[in-house]
Amino acid sequence: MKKVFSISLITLKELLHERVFYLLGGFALLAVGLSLLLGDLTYAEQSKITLDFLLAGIELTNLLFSVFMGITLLHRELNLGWIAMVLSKPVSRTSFLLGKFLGQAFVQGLVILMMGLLTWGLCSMNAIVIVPKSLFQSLLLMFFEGMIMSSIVYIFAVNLGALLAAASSLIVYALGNFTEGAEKTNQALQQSPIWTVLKGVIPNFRVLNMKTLAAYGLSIEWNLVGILFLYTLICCFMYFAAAAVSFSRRDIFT
Amino acid sequence: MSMDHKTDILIQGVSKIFRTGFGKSKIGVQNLNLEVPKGQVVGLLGPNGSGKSTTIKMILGFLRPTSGKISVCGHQVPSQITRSFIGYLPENPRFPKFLSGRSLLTFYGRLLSLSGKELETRIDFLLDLVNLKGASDEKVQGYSKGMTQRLAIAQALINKPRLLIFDEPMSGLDPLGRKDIRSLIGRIHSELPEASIFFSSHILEDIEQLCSMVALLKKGQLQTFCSIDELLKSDNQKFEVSVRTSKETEVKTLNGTDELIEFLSQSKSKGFLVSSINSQRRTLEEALFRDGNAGMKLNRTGSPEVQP
Repeated sequence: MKKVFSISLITLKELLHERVFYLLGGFALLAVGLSLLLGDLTYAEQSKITLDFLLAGIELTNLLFSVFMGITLLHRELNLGWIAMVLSKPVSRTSFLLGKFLGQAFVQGLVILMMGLLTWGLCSMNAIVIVPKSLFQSLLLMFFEGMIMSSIVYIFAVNLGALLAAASSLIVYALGNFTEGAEKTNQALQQSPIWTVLKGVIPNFRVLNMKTLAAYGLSIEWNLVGILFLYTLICCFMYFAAAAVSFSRRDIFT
Repeated sequence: MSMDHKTDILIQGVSKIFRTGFGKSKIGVQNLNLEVPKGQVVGLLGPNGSGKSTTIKMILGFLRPTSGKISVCGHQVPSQITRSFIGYLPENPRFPKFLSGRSLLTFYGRLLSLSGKELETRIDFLLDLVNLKGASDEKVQGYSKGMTQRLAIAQALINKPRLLIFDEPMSGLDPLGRKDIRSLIGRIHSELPEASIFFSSHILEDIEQLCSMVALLKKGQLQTFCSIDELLKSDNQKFEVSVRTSKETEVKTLNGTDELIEFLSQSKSKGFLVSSINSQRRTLEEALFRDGNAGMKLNRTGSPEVQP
């Protein structure tokens, strides 16, 4: 576990030096500015709309972070050959991948927290009432979503080129958000065996989305948060295991 | 496993076929058999694309052989145990630019389960060995190619490895840098006399100066594997003899010992004075490429016939 921790620490330092990381920070600020502007323009339910936009900005940044950071972290190791000196030591490929994942998770959590604090600050400045519990729960669920997404990204990143990996990950994200809705509007889908398989493989991201609730200052039971945490753990384990198996079998040419 | 304690690398019937597209493939290495004895400096020689790096990457477990078996220090590859014996210097090593030389060595040391005072002492020793002590706290993005190469050698030595694997260690370096690395490899061999050094190169001069044994790969197949001395020993050895006659000094080139003995006896009977006899040593290039007998010095398992 010490080796995993060492790799996580290096990943953390790497991400803190990463320009894309700052770009995402800039994007978050832009989203925040945009939502404040929209809030000013909207007459009715100004505070709710503002908060909803802010949370949507955080969610989008979180998604981009999961996809692009995950891919960058792994592809840079493989393309620049940094990985050669790590894997020539007695370190398993799974430990390497886990170290990267945990380092990324830590920074991602930090980014969400920072954006949450920024949201709080901006809302306070504009006299928008925020219920701390609902904001915290919403951010926590976004973090869970980010972790599931990152583990899915790793499956694609260890097998595909950067562009294909990003596209595939975003498709899975879209499917994970829309399967529930699609099933409601199209009853025939429920009978389709392909749909059943797809539903079993692709996570349901809708259950982790409580932006609208948070915008209205509503919260959920902690028991439900616990269940969602368990759901996240199972998903992460499943997808990460698939990524690790795939990574340990592939040839490394670097 | 028939491997004994005198062998650090055992490659048995290893082939690697790369899939390059739908229904297309390329042979990386074909039916390779090689035994690297303990404590030897073995050079893996061959032109670009001959399978040198593929062989090294299979030994490290980066590439999986299509067929055959590889063992390192008695353990089957791939495994974490084999890598705990190995120090690896990749071709064109690159490091995360945001870290200093010292923090990188600390990171690699921790991956080898080293820590605390032991690790610090080892890092200080290695930085001194590779002449990077003055730049140890600088970020590696400011390092020259030669400094990066020396840092990469330091990371390969951090666990006092039993087997050092260097992939083209002199590649891309200027003559001075190459000389530095050559002398460093020589020093490493004297620091770790028990360790085997297995390195690839396509520069004959480097192999001739550093190695006790050489393996020649061509198109993924082993052509020759024997000791350098054995390879350079010629059946028709030449001698350059300086002889002083009554009038002048003559220099004669003689083929083989029989001709030399005959010439010496004639000189003696004529009363000429032999001032010097020089044995002309073949170069590795002559031995490998001009004799046309590459592959003749292999036995069936690919082990050298003559143990130095």
